Amino acid sequence: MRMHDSNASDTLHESFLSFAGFRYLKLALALCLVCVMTYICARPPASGGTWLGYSLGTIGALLIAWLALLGVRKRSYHATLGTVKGWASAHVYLGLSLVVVATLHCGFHFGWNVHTLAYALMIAVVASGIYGIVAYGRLPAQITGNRAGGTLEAWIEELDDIAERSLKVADQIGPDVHQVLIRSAERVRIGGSLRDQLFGPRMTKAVDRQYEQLRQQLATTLRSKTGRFTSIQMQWQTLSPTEKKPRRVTVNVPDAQSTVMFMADQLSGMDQDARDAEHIRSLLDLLARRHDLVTRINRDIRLHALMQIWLYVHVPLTFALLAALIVHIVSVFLYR
Amino acid sequence: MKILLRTWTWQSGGERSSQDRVVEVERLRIGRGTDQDLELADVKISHSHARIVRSGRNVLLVCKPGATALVNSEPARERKLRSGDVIEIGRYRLTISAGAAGADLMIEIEETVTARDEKAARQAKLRTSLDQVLFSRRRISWLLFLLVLLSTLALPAWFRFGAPPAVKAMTSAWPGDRLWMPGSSSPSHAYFKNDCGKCHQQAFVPVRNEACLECHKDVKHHVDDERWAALPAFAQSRCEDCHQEHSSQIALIDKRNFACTDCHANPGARFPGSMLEAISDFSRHHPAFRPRVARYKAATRQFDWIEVSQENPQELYEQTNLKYSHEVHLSPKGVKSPNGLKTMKCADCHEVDSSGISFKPVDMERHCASCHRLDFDPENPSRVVPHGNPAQAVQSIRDYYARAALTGGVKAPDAPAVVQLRRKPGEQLEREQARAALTWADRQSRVVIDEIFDKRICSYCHTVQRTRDPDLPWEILPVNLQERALAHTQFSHDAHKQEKCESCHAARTSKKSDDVLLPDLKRCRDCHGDADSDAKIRSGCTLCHGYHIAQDRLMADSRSGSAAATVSGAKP
Repeated sequence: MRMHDSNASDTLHESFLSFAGFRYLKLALALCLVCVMTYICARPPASGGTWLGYSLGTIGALLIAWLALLGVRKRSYHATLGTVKGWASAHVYLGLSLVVVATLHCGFHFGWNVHTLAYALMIAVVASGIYGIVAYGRLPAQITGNRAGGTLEAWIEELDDIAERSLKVADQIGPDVHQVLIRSAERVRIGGSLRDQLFGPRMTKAVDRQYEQLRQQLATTLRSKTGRFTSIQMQWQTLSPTEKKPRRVTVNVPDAQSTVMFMADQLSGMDQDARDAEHIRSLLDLLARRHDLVTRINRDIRLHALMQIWLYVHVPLTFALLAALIVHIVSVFLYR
Repeated sequence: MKILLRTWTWQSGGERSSQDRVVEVERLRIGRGTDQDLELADVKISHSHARIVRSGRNVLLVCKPGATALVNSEPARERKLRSGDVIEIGRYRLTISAGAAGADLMIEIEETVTARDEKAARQAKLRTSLDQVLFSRRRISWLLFLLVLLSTLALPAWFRFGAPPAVKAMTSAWPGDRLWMPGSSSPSHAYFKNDCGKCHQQAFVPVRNEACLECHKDVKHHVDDERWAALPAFAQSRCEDCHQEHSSQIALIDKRNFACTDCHANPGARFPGSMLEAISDFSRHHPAFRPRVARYKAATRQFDWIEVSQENPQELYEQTNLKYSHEVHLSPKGVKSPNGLKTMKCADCHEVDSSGISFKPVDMERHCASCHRLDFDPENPSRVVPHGNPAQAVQSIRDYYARAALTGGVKAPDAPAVVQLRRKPGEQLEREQARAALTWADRQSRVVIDEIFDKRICSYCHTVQRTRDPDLPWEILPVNLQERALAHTQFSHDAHKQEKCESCHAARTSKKSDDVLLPDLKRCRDCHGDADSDAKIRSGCTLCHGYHIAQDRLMADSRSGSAAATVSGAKP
């Protein structure tokens, strides 16, 4: 107990897996050990119909019912019976121990029947739960890293803002560039279907290619207007860190700077070519920022989808399992 | 060209109001720029996007290079305009109509959606989380719950208990109550074709023994005594206690000991006064064998059979009324025979019978006679007495010597001359001569009969007794040829034929026919152990013993509801 008390101050930071000094891991291991030993020593060996079979079955059914209650407990913010973290910890470890209890309960007898259906559903629920543990352990850090202080809503706002600004700049270069940019903006994909959210939007490569073409086209125009090839090359390099790994943009092109340049251009009395060149640079800045944002947004959506997708298996299959469990119990007593 | 521009705007109350402006221009410039005649504030519209110009009597819409507009929902770069045409540029809709109040043309301008609304709509259309693209977890959960409940419980239950016959006929499409089968039924019940109702006749009621006994009519009970059968341990027992259907075993019989040792581990607990020995397992707690052995009762000239435990060596002998030594017959040097020494093996005399359990009886003619000859006259070794019938044997000896005496030519120095003298054929004996010859024959027969019965032939193997009957002066006591020694099991010799006989039976050292050569439990335990042991052969009770062993009483008999009797002290 003293050990638990000394850990109490760390409770806020510890994972639900190591909750209260692995209290529920120990409990689950003890449960498994007792069940396995009893099974080995039992006369007659366990199957559904023996005293041990009934005992293991009762433990298993109560466990399933209790584990299913986690969903209720999570929604009940006023509950005082234990913390949500404690419940999650117990849910994970006792849920895993259920595999042992249920397997011993059935005495390794399987068939094409409702009893094995219940068992298979239980295994599927536990398997999806294991995915959930892994996802909760790994993805939040990736999400935080990808967000870098931003939020999805702010990014989408910024994306709209960039679209508006880039259209204005493009219009000043010429109606053809303006038209190309309108089409380019239409091709940007954010999220989408289940598949798009889980694996990234389709056509990402095609969009990347078109973005690249547009950029080269603009750079060529810029070259022709300024002739300052070397400095353009340098700007190119700052603009193109996404070529190899388009989904992991890390360089953040300073957006404020391009805006200042754009405003300065508007006010200055430079000649047409020089003004166009400044507009193109602004546009290149905006496009790079847009590309970075789109990549981050889609990555954020993808990580969140990976975080949540297992619940779409775990919860419905739990309900199917509860139904199969009811049928299992009723049918066993119906045909005794 | 004089154009009336009517701009519609939406008021906060949901009403719209218009503002008219008349411009007189050569061509109407449309675009986002502040220098345009018709300024449309939408970033998707070019600074200078399109123009409306007059061309003769027509009015044309001409878009700038790279810019497009929709006219009546069709993309257009250059289009002749008619009254009623609708031009869509960006968020704006321009409706063309004939001029009024002196204008050549009227254009009604309307912003179809505000910039803010358009942005909100665009953002609302984004699908950035799974709950926007997937089913509701709650709904699909309840759907699955009901689906499983309906398809595997409600529907099968309806098919089984409530559906009209017409519906039942269609149930082959869905497995129905077969879904509840915990395992396939045993091959012997495959005959039911998964008709669960054959055995499970009532819901929530365990399978009744009557269901089994409908077919298994002739199955014997465990005990014969009605008072025993009426005890709850038997009257309330269920077939299912031992015969487990739908388990993974191929046969229905539970080969493990639990059902037997429930009672036999401590028979006194459930059956007070029981004289049964406690047996909790084979390897340590199985009583010694109690072979049935024979005791000869001279008064009745019959054998009585008693059971004697192998732990009681004084009593462990068997009376056979035969004189026989296995040791002599199985001597590795061989046993004396008319043809010299003969090495014998067990199978020369003991042949397994067709059941494979026991042996054919040893037969004198087949197994003994080739050595143990029954000739009685050294002068004529081909003459033998018949075996198995002492009266005939005596008569045949008397006949033999009477004929020899009357025929003459007998080479016996103590015989009268008439017997020694060889006669010619057809020669008649005198009365005195014949009497002398027959007197010798009678005397000679008595000598030979005594010798054969008491000394030389019969008594060699049999126990013989002198009688007071001059016609049959000797009798041979009845013989006991061993039957099965163990009453409560059927030991299969056939199943053990891989073993040599002497590896279990100590025949090579057995000097007397009284010896009981049944091996003891220790020898069985060399190979056999409990079902859960690591013995060479894991054996449950049922390997050697049966349950349905009553002589007359059937399992069905005890179902007739005989009153339970007090059976304290009764023995099954």
